[in-house]
Amino acid sequence: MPGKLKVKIVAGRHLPVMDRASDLTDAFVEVKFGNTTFKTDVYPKSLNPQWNSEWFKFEVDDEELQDEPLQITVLDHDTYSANDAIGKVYIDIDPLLYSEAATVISGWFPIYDTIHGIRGEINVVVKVDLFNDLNRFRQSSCGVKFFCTTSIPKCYRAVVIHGFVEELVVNEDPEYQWIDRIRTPRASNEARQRLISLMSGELQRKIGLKVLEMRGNAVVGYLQCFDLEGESGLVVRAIGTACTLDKLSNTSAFLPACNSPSKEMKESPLVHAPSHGCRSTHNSPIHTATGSRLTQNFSVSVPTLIYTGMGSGSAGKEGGPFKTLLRQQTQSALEQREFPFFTLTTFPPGFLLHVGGVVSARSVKLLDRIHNPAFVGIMGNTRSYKLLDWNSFNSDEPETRDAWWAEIRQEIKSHAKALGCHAVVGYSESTSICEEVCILSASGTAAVLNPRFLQDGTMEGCLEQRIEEASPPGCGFCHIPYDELNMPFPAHLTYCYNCRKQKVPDVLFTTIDLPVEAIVVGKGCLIQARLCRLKKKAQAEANATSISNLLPFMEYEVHTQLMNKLKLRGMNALFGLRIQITVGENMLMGLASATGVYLAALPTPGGIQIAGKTPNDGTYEQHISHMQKKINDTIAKNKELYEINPPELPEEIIGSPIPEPRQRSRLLRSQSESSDEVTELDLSHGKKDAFVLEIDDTDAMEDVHSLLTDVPPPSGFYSCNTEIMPGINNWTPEIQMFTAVRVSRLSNINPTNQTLNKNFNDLCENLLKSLYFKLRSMVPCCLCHVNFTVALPEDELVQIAVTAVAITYDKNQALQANKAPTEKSQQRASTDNEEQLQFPLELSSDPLSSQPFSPAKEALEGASSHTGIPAAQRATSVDYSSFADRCNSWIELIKLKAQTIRRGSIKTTTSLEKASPLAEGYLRHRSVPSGTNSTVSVVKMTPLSFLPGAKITKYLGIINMFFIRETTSLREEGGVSGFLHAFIAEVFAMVRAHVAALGGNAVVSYIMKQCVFMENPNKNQAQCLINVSGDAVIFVRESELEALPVPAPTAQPAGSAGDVTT
Amino acid sequence: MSSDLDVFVGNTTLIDEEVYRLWLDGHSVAEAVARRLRGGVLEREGTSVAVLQSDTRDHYRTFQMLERLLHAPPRLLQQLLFQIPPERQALLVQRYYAFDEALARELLGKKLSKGTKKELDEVSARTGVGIRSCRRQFDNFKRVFKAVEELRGPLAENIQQLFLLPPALARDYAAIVFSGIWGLWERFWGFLGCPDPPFSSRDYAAIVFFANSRFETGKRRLQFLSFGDFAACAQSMMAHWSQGALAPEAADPDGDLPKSFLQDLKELKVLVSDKDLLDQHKSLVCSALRGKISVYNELEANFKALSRALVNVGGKLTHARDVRDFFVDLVEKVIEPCRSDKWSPGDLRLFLTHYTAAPRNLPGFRHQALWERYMAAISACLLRMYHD
Repeated sequence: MPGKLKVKIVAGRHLPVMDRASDLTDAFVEVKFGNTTFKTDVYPKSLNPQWNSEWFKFEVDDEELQDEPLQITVLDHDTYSANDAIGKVYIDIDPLLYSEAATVISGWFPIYDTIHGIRGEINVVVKVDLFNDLNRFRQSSCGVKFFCTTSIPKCYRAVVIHGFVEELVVNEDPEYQWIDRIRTPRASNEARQRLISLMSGELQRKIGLKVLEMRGNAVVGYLQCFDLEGESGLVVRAIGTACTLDKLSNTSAFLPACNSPSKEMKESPLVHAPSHGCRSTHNSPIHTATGSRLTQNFSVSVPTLIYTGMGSGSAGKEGGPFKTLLRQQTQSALEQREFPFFTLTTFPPGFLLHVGGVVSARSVKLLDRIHNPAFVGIMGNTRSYKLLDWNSFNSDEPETRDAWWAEIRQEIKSHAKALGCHAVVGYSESTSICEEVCILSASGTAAVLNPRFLQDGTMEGCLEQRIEEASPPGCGFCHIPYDELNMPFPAHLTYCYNCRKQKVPDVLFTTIDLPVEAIVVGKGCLIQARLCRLKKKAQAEANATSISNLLPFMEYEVHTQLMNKLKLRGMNALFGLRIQITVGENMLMGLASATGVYLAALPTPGGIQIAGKTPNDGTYEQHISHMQKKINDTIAKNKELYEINPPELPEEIIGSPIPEPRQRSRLLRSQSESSDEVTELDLSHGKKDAFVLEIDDTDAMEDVHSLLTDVPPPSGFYSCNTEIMPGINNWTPEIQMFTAVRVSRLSNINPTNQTLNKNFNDLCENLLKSLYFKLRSMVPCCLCHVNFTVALPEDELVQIAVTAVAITYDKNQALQANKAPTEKSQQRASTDNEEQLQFPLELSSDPLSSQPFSPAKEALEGASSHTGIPAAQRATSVDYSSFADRCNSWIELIKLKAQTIRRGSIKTTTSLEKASPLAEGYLRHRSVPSGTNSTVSVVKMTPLSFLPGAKITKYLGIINMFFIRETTSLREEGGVSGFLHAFIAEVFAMVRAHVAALGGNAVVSYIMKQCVFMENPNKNQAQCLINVSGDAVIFVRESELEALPVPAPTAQPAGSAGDVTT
Repeated sequence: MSSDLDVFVGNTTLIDEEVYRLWLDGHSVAEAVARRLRGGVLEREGTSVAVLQSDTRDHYRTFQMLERLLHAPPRLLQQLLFQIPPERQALLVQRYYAFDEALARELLGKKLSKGTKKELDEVSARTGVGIRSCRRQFDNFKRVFKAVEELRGPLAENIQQLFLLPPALARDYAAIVFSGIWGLWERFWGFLGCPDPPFSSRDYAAIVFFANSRFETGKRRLQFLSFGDFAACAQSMMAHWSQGALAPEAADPDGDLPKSFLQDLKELKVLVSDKDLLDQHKSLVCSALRGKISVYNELEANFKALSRALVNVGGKLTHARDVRDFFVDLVEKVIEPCRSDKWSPGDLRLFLTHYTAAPRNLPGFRHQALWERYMAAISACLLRMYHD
């Protein structure tokens, strides 16, 4: 289905002087799409040309529309010599292809040159007419929406969450083509930028096709990365979660999401075509050498730290059969899928039933040059560059890469299974490449999900209700999903401290965000484990082998550190865990970041005890006891700092934690049945009440010291790497997103692991310290979504990039919250739960009926919405006394309190909802693009999926940009720091300009996926590649929303909606 | 472990006012860090010197990148590279273009040439303003001058628009910038003569100051006068002397224009040239002031000299050549004699009031309105300048 792309070049401003003689420029513009090029007239002798061109029209296929970027080149006309390029603008027109996203792209774009940076701005208007409206998106994947956000986007409702989609495309890196020797760096950079842009477009289109095949209409949690494999090529790969999303119409926004979805869902969902995963990989390059498993695949699984369980053996009496049924249901739903993975980290309420723990797999691969050749499916002139060895032309490159990933995913899947889970959530993949060695990593959280969202169907309606009844508020996800008597690893289980019904592990690690309903005590904090390991320089297989050998030790140590630091803070769970292992020439670096919290459902963590190995030595003992005291003091201090005062529980409740005789008898069975899915590493620290650190040598001593060197953030600061900071919920609208990059030289001549560790630790700590200092004017504030990325660009060089957002919060309210932090979170959690409570009662009349449940529910829904009874009132009508005997009175009390709070909150939110259609129109009205308007509209950026104090009214499309910057005058540009500082600022500026041109005023879920920096100070050169992505949105301040019903649209610029931060 | 590369970039550009000031004052990073340390940031924030260094370097880099834009402030508003809230942008511009009065005083009446720039070392030593800051300020003056030199229309307003400066600062700029140019005296009067001047009264301070080129300000006896004194004098002169130009509808259509006003000032000479008038004037003033003024005797002795000086200053204003001596004359012939006779400012004020009012009762003096208009500005100038 063809479409027509229309482009108009309006004007330029602040162009650079291209003619030294006149101090002016004779500028004109080339507009290129695919293989068609148009030119504007030359606008002579001006630095602010007004071209005001006609509409340039490109008639193209929609496939081309999806793949190709619009390329705008500004040039200086020269009568006697070749025209000089001033710079380019690449515009991704994808957002114009969705029916609901942007309708026009119009605004000032920075003109970017890979050598000179931003050189002036150009005003462009772009529109797309898609023909054949009736069958608009059927033939292609044009209509599929993409979101970087790893939760269901705010103004949508998930009808079905289909599951994992992935794709990768491979090409030769233009930087390594023979032609690169004769072309200019600029040409080479532009070839690369264009190629990656093309590949991204192609990748997105292919993923879109898969989504359509699965009958979805959107991809959420879309993460696209590229691997620069050097001579062996360039891989662009992406993963995401296919969903069927419904735009929330404003009236139904607050009704629970259980209307039956559209008719097209009737057929049972397709198993998505195994177009890639099952390919045979004839000649995988690495199998050649040793044939041993080591080089081709190494993996470590990490689930053993996690102990969790719903334990079907100990399940409630009447709950049991349902659960089994449920499990069968979900499993059958999920097993149809090759990989039951979800890239989401936040879920609709009720979606996540149980969490098993973190599963991860790593694999060391050798990138082989011989098999590198292919550039598959890339069209255009790239092909013409290429000199090929025709023997290798029948490339199997994508298959090879696919097979590698498939292998790892398989492993993840089996780990999850070992944890009694049928799905993996918070799933992500990453690579680290050094020369020809590549570590592929995948990690996620094993989980049991509610099938309601996984596929459309009528039969699970009743099950879903049952399970909600079975898993109590705010702690259900902590209950172990695996059989307590058949645990994949030794763990220490207790009865849930919240509901007392189910078993929970003593510590929980996850890669997801803290579920909203979770009951948390106190506040959370950022916890990092940092580690360096020296490695001998080696080649090929030897290198891969030594890396493989080191990995398990690193994983082990990272976990030990995490565990120690968690205990040191008196907390018992980690969320958002991200372990990054980076490979360099002569070392490996591990950096794990997570947000520690105290979950009320899990037991209080024991302290840390230090034990010396050489007793009977007076001074040594003294030293040990001194350290012990220090540790105890730190724990006490941290508990105070993070306000961890778990409610005291009466002794008799804590009392009988573990199995009754009946269950014990089944112990035998479980042992005999023990699975062959043995995890390869036992990272568990056993069932020690207090954690014992044994100090047997100086290394261990160092470790203990390093434990104590983590300085808590200065007062007024909190930090976390998750979306929301546990324990703070009174955000004020001021935000500041930032990126900080540091490259440090490890100066030691003879580095040891110890000194390296210390250096690395200092580097991270100093970086954090300097962030706190920089942002001191925002106090009280919280650094959210702190994302560290480590790279080892060269021998002895460590590069750390941090992107995060600082959000202010209201201290006064915070103080109030401090008084009863537990209560507050409890209330929040139980309010969420009440929404679910209303159904089980309805159900109880007909619990086992085979009749589909949803009609009845709909009727109920309909009735209540027709009569206009506010949800709160309906909630009051629920008699939850049936729960009373199960829950202790303390929970009960809190629920009662929650009840009152809930009434108020519902009222306000509904009023907001009503206002929003107006709001959107209002905003639209105001954001009418105006080329003449000289004020620059404010665009907010945040790595979070939301903006505090604001409501996202529209998603305009995905922003996915790739830039290269190079300089041959490094010193003149202020050295490496000056160069990178300018480049990052330029990247921000270009992202903002694109968002503003789409009519948006913010980027959410912003992420800097790659920042590759290379320098050659001797040659006065440096190069940097940056890849960023995010979702362009329109948001409206909640305060403005309230004011909106009085329609007095003033002629303010669009940007005024966003408050400005300093 | 040394950090080779260390950057921090916010989506909203962070501006630290303290560091900005240090940068504007021309301190190096090391000096700035030292100063911040002395300011006690370390203790307040509990951080380390390394952090402070890294922070300072970051800010300095930002300012260096911003400087290019600050040279043309409207570009700062339009540029996309740095997202800076408007009030912060205004602060950046204002602080960048703010100048040290001591420096401005030195430059008053000098050409903004390379030669002057070379003398900045001395100026820096004299004024205590850092040499780098001196150069930056000098370049600011020059840049503003170059930008508005050829433009038509009100200067202060042009400056305000081109450099986004607050009105007061723009006026001062107009003053200094044009103090460097000779031959604008006529243009100045041309402005005043414009029947429908597009500028408001406050701009005159600025405009008069470009005319300053002709006012001698560098003489030693004028050293005690500050930049602010000159600015205030200029303002009151323009406020009183150009009334006709300001309110053309109220003025005589034939033109109560400044040029004729200046011409008319010659008529006032009659007050000193006519012996009768002079005597009568003296007796009127003296009788009014007897007993009210502590320096009555001195007044009586010096009245004729003072009056001659006050009247003659006005008479000389028509000739550009003589204008330069305006301030010198006032100081030499009025202020210094009064000071040596130990007049208090109150005495001077009282004297000027009665001196101005008295001719009303002089028979045969027909220029009453002109006289009062003239004396209003002169009195204001004298009172402003009458200090140590």
